[in-house]
Amino acid sequence: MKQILLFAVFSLFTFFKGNSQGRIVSGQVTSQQDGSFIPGVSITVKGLSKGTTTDRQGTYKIPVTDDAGVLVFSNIGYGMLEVPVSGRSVIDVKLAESSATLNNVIVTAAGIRRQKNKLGYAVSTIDAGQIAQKSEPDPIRSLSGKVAGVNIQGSGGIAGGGTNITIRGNSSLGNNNQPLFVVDGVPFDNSSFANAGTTTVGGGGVTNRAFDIDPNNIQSMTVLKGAAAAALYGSRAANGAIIITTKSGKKQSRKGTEITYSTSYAFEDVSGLPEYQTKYGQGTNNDYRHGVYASWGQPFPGVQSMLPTRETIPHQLTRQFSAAVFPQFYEADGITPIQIPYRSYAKENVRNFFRRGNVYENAISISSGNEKGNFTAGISRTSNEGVVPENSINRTSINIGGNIKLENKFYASGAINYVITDQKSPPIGGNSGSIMSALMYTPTSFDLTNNPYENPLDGSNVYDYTGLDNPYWSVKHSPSISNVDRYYGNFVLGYDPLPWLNIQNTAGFNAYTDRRLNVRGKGSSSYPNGSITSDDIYRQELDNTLLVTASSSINDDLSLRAIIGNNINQRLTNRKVFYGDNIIVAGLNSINNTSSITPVQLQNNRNILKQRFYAFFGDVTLEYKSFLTLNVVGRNDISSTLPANNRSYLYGGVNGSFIFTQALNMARNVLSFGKIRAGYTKVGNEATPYQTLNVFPINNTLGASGVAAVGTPFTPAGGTGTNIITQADLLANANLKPEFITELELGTELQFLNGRIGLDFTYYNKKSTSQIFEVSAAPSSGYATQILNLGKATNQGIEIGLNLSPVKSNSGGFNWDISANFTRNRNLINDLGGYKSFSYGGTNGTSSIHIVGQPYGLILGTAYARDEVGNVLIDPNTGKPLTSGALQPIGNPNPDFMLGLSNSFSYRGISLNVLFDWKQGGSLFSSTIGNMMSRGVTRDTELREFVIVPPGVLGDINTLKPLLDARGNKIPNNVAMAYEDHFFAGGMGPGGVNEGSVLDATVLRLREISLAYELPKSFLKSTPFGSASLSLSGRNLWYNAPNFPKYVNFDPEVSSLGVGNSQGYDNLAVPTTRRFGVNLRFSF
Amino acid sequence: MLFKRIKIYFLISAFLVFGSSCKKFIDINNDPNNVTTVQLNLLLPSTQISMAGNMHQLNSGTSTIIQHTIFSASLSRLQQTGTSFDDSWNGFYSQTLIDIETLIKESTKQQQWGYVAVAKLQKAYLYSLLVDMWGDVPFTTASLGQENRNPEFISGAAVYEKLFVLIDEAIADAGKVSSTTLMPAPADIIYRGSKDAWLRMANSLKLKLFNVIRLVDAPKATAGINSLISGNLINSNSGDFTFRFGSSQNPNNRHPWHRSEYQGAKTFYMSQSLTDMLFNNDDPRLRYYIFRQNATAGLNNSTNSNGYYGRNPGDGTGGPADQTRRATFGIYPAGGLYDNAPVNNIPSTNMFLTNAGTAGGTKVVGVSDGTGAGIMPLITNAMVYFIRAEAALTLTTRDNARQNFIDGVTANLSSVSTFAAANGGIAMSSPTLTGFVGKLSRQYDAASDNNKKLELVMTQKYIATYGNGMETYTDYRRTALPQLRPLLSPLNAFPLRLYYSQAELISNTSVSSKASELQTVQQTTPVFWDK
Repeated sequence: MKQILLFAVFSLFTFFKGNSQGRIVSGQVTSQQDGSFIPGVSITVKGLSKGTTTDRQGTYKIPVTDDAGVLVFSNIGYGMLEVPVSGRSVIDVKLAESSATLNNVIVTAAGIRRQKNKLGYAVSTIDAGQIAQKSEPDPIRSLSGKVAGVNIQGSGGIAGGGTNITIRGNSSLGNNNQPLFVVDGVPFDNSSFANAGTTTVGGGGVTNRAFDIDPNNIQSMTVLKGAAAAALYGSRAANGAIIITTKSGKKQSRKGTEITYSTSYAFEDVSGLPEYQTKYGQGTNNDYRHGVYASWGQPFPGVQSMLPTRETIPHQLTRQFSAAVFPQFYEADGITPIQIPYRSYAKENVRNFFRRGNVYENAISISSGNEKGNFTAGISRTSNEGVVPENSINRTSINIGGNIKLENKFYASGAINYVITDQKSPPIGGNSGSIMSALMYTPTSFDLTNNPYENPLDGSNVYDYTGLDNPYWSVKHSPSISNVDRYYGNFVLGYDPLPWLNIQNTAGFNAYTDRRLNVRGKGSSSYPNGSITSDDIYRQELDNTLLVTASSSINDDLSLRAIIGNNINQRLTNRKVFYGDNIIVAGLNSINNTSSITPVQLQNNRNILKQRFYAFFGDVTLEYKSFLTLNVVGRNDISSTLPANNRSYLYGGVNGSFIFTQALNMARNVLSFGKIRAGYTKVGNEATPYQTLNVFPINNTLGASGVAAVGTPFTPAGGTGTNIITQADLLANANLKPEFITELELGTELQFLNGRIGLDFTYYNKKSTSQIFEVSAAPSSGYATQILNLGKATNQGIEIGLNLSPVKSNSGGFNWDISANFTRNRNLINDLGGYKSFSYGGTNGTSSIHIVGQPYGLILGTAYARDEVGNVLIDPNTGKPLTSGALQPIGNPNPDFMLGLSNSFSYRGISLNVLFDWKQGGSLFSSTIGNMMSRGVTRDTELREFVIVPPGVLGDINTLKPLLDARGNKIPNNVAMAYEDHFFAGGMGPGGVNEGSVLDATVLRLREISLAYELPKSFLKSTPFGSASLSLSGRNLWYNAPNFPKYVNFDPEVSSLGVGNSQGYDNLAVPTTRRFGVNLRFSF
Repeated sequence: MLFKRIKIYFLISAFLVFGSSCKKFIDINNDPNNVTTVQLNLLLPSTQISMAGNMHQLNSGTSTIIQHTIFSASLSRLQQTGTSFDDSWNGFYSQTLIDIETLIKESTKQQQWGYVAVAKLQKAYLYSLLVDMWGDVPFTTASLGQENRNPEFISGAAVYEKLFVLIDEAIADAGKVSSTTLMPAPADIIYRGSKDAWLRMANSLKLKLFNVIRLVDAPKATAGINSLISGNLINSNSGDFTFRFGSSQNPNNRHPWHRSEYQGAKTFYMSQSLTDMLFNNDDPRLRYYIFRQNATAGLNNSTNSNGYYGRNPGDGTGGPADQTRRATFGIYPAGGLYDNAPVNNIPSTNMFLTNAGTAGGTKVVGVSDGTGAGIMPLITNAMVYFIRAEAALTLTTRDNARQNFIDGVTANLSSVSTFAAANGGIAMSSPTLTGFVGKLSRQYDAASDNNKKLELVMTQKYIATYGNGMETYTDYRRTALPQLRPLLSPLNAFPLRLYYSQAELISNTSVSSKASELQTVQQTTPVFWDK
């Protein structure tokens, strides 16, 4: 490989040698609008086809033979400009942006800038205006609905909750499917570490670290969707890449000084709560019962009913607490509970628990520069207080950056960022300390708002549900705290030794420490002693990229650019987890405040993970007459995670574009621009570290999970402590090979009526082969999980982007732009190397499963037993449905299609932007809805005073075959049951068999509205401000999930497992929020 | 120009220099967190702890099926699923047996015959349990990792054949050790390395296996048992093959029943049939086995049942919020509390379960009540006597059934008493102990025939084996004894085998294509020794 590269380097140099001739005219091209340099401007001598392009500083050199010649400057997105040479040797020009802009230069992989109209693959660019000041502190969520091919799934309404993002479906069966984030040329870790040990926060509450990027500091985001676009990043961009240029990292200089200050304030509320029934109180079987967390009790006084009612009930808290604790709930004798009115609190219980949250952002940035260089600096602070009391996330970031052009053909730039992100979360995630465990189905007659939640004697939990903590108590006593310090930056040194040659090295670092503390408060009813887990995560990434770029014209029609490069990368995770048992003094959240501290082992004791790779790559672009472009990319990775004989792997691809409108000189009055593109690329992917060797962890916890887990060192009764080693659960694979993704991408971009209508269509077919994934092993082989290296999965899809400008007028008139994007992805597991299926992940007795011939990651759980035509089999003894013998796939979480529709209106300084999105299909296993139905709390189960005979046929409980009558016919179900039992455990409704809690998560949503007003310049004349704008924004203002029970008002944009490949689960997630904000922006 | 060319060459040579150090740079995939070589003295205790830890679900589930306790409503109604016993199956294979195989391999290589013997005996015990519970199981090709990711299931009868051989091998291996200890004491949690104890365990295990197959191969069983009864069997309570949990809370070494029930949330109900069986027979063990949180709350939160709030087997109704009222595990074997409060409605004729000397009341239990240092009895001294009694009554063994019955009861009573005394409870007075044994021996003598005597033996073994549901589940399938209480609302027939782990059925391609069929017939297919 090295020889080939060397050969390539030498041939390039000899190739370009001596290509200059005649007198040279040079100069610099800048933007008329903002003075920034414009690279990639095509410059030709009029009448000749010979030409050149500007470099990244906007400078050019072109040989001319005739002093009377005319230079033609043109660039897509800018007007064309003709300048007579008139004997000058330096010609600087300013180009004006044309109205029919085609987003000209974009940053592709490895910082390579290319003109978008010449790319052989689809990319999407989002600029600052679409992300900042939208009342959304999470940069990933701010992309929702804006980019075709991108699927974003938030995990609910926790401030700083995880966000899952996939591009063009899931390709890897077991490895990471999140795209690679690259900030200013350096990979940016977007991990989401699940809490270790005795966790109180489920996956959904854990922030993914892309949150550390402040949307206010983003200059632009480029989404590289396909393998073709990402080939140069190699392995890690196999799932696409999101290339972020920050304001401090932007390369182009800008003349003059600008100070920008922006501020915004938004408030947020829970976006939807169920409509609770207010007719029946706590209890079961139409009877009032203390302590029962269902609302199938007696009707309240005044409710029209055939059932008896009651006026009062004994105070609920007297069930568990004596007069010594709460004398006020007892009569004078201290024994008889007082009677309290029997009434409904359903309307206020849950509503009162959630508070009004807010998002408050302040950012100031300065930028100053001249031709030689510039300097930027910024500081910003975002604080988000969530709708759950005590839940907040705050992010403070400071960035400094600059670039300079040195005298001796060198240039340099650098940026450094420091981010502090502090999150405090309540316990969520469905376990016994979780605030959501019972909140949504609090018994309707229990006054959650006003009843005490702390024991006045010792501060311990007070609730009427044994074993669960009162949510008010949990938020106060059982916080999870995460303090992240993140520092990242880069140093770029470039050298332009020859006009056609550029050498550039980018060294980058990106590291953070996340110091977490998970507290289970003292006096918790799940564990009265309380505990504190401290979890220090250190993550570091070092990356260096060296690029040698040669570009020149070969002849009049043909130009070539060749890049060779080298990339070295190291990633390190070092995590230290300690469990402190028995909090000594309640309320002091320090691990030293516990009576015994033991180390916690992660899965297979993988506390330290270190991996490296280095790679050589090349990228050659041939351009013919600026309408035909061919791009060939190759890369060879050498990864530490693979065994020595397989660690080096070569891949690459080819793509091209053809602007036929230009080539065929077509009339431009209808079809003003037309391009077709095609690409075929293969990308390799490495493994995660340490999967090639079986190991023996020391002092692992042994036994099954939960109460059967025996901690070590083990001290038997009357004995001394014994240390142990045990074989790790993971069956390693000594012959791992890299996995590969090959992708065919075809597309076209068309513009009609001078850009009034734009259409971008892409078809892709992505195949993933020899997948490396960790799946359940046959336990009898000796292992719980195994690393496999096989299988094939495909993702096929289309992406359509459509832009319309129905009303267009120049300079400040009324403009209306419509931008729509449509995504449809179909994935299929083709082969699992002889296996039929593999399961992983999941929650609440369900798991995710890959099945050959089925889409990715189905939900596996208990299903109704059915006859051959699909009738549910009913147990003749109970009238309840029978459960299938084995677990079955019961839902497909992958959406059918996604549609984003954005309408922008502008008139003078006023602009209005409305973003609507629609996610069709995709299943959600919702334990929230299952519980609400089976506990009888929403209006869906209000009409209840009757018995029902659920549809189905009677079945044999052993054979799971239909029972037949004397004549051999199936017997329709004839067992009536109370309406309540229909929903209660094992019943037909949600809350019974898992299948009953799987719902179609189709959702329509008004995602974002913003109304902005740019103050007229004349108005600002007497102020220090150069410009000022004011905007109002709203997020998630309306949604409708039509296939959910009518009154649950549930927003399916939740994901209790947070970021990862196991999707489609709601395990009592925190509901989503709705925000309204006001934003102000001044520049001086 | 030349200068620039030099620069480029310099750059290229930099590449080459870099290339030569590449191998070192990239060779970093050796796990820095874990060891890759085995130390026998660290691996052996791991197999013992993980066997006990992984037994919880199996023990609790089978204890439910045979009405020792009620761990889950659906198992109490005899309805199994692929996750009813998966934790135990998965853990036995992926933690315990793989470590045992590694231990056998490594210790054989190092000629550490003491370790070889113990590992083989543990393997034999665990596999006999797997066969008893599931019938056909992976054996010959199990625990091979990469070499066989999909081990075949073989018949339980074939496994049993190999286990007899394996036990004899282990005895021979132990014989190669001249010292009285097979290994340093700290490496062996169960017997502290005692060679004598392990040899007694080996013979007792053989005794148990011979007895289990007596219905299908009486001659072999008889010959086998006869060859063992005069030999080296477990003959003292201190020689019990028992896993003893610890009292440490962090790391948590406590008995899982204590961990599960001595807290706010609760999983179990006490079985009303066991409670009544002890109560009605004036059995002093009731105060040791069951602890009441409330002296008046009776069956299903009524005021019936003498203040013992348990559940009848097969009760399908949902649980009310009764975690502070229901009765829970007592001091034996879970390491909880000894119930020293007066019991309602004790007949005045009672001599052993009385309110004499009671002090204090009931209480709502919490994590600091009791030591948690409970035990998991696997093969006890008492069990050995009961096995001998059963064999003597049903086969032509040279053994005295009556004496063995009496010895068995005595051994169990004193074991319970000693354990309680050591864990903050109260020892059984010796008049109570001997008196109760005397009462049972009179019942034995009054029994009209061997069937009635066998019922007494099996009933006493059933009570004595509280804490080990597997043994009793196997006994019940072989003898249909003791008489179990009819279920309130059963959902299925009495399971003759347990359901396989869902994970095994999905992940093992040798069975995955017929998973559903394989699973559903488990309920109704007897294990090979069952007739």
